[in-house]
Amino acid sequence: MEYHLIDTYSKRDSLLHRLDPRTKIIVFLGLIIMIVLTPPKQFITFGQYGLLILGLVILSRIQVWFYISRALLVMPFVLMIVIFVPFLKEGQTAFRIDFWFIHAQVTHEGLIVCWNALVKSVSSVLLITLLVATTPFNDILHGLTHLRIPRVLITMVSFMYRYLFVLLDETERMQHARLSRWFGGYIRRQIKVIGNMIGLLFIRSYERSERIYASMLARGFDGSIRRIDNLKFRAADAVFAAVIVALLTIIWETYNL
Amino acid sequence: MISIKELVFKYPDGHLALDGINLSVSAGESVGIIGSNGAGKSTLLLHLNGTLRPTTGTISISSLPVDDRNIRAIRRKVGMVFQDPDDQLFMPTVSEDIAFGLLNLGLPENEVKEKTDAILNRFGMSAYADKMPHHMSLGEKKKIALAGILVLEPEIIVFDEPTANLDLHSRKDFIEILKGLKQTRIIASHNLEMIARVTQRVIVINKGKIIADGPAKDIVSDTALLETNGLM
Repeated sequence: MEYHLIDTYSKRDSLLHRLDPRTKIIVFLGLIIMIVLTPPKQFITFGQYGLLILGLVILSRIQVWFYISRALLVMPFVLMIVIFVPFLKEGQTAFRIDFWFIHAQVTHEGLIVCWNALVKSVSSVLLITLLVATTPFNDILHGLTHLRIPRVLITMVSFMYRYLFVLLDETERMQHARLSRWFGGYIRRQIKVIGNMIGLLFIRSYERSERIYASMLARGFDGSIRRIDNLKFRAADAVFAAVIVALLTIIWETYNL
Repeated sequence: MISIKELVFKYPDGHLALDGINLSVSAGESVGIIGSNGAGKSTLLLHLNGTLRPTTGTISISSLPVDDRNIRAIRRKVGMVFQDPDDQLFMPTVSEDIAFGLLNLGLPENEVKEKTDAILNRFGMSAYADKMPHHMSLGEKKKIALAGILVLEPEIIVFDEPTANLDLHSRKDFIEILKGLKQTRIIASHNLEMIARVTQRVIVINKGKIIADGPAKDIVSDTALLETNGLM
């Protein structure tokens, strides 16, 4: 089976794809920090950020639908958190809901808090999705290593990414084996069987990890994974970073007015 | 080249996997190890590069005893191709996986790149350099696993079931590669046809003991021997 989970579009070609992962990580992280630090009532500034993100998406040439569907994946979590805020926050009443037995009031302050959380989380997710969609996962990890993220963490994530697919295959084979001897009914028993499968998967991964470790030792592993450094800052990286900084300065200036 | 004396190995749970193995292999030999499931083939192989250590008995590789002091030199000499290439290809891309061992040897980066490119080219797999192993077929993964070992230029290469689960075409391909190697080869399998084609000498193992040791063509045609040891 072939799985493409998160970096489906990362092998395409565009200006954004060709940039050094470090440039993208720093620029996108900087953008996110700017957005998060912007006061919630600066509606125009948020509009400008929106245009900036839209520009980046166009530059990246990824499919808009794919992009939006990926970014929307986290929305349920955000909504769960913010949906009740307008009703709970004390303040000036914006409008009332009177429907059957429901009598609630929504406050201005609550709406602002809600908008604040919503717009910031959505823009952050949009930016992170764009980063992942334009950078192969491996390159992101490589970039993070250079940005001094502890190697142990990087190695763990790298192994997870490598073996996630192997585990998915294994799960799928077990699932097929289970379904091919299941003839309907006995749902409660099936739940127990699935529990056993999860346990078995754990044991298998544990045993696999020992085999992997043996094969690492066989090729001289001594505690740290060495890699060839193939990242290069190019003129395009400098130009890209400069343009983004310039745009942010313009946004900053208009905000001060 | 390889000398094993009175090797006994007991797993921590008390299971006696190897029970007095005596074996010597000289340089350039290609030796098949055959035996039914659980006969002790894989356990024996894992002793050859010091992954497992004998409960009693000794092993030495070109007169270096296998112990903690020599372990780096031993692993440099003995390359091991594991049965499941997914266990062996743990780096995110093919070229990085091949580079893994070379970088552990402390070679400079340009030399690592050169060697990686050369070995991929030799296997006709240059196009796979940036591929991720989970997008490849078993046959391709097996070849890359072997390439990652060959590039380290070991004197001895140990194979555990090199052709298990391969389709006909990949198996033929892999057999040709095995035949073309110059290094000392130890190949464990229960695929008699493959063993007959790529080895000159065959050892039969059953319940942790060596039952027979002789020229490949004699052993593979000895039906009585093969039947009593669960190989036919």
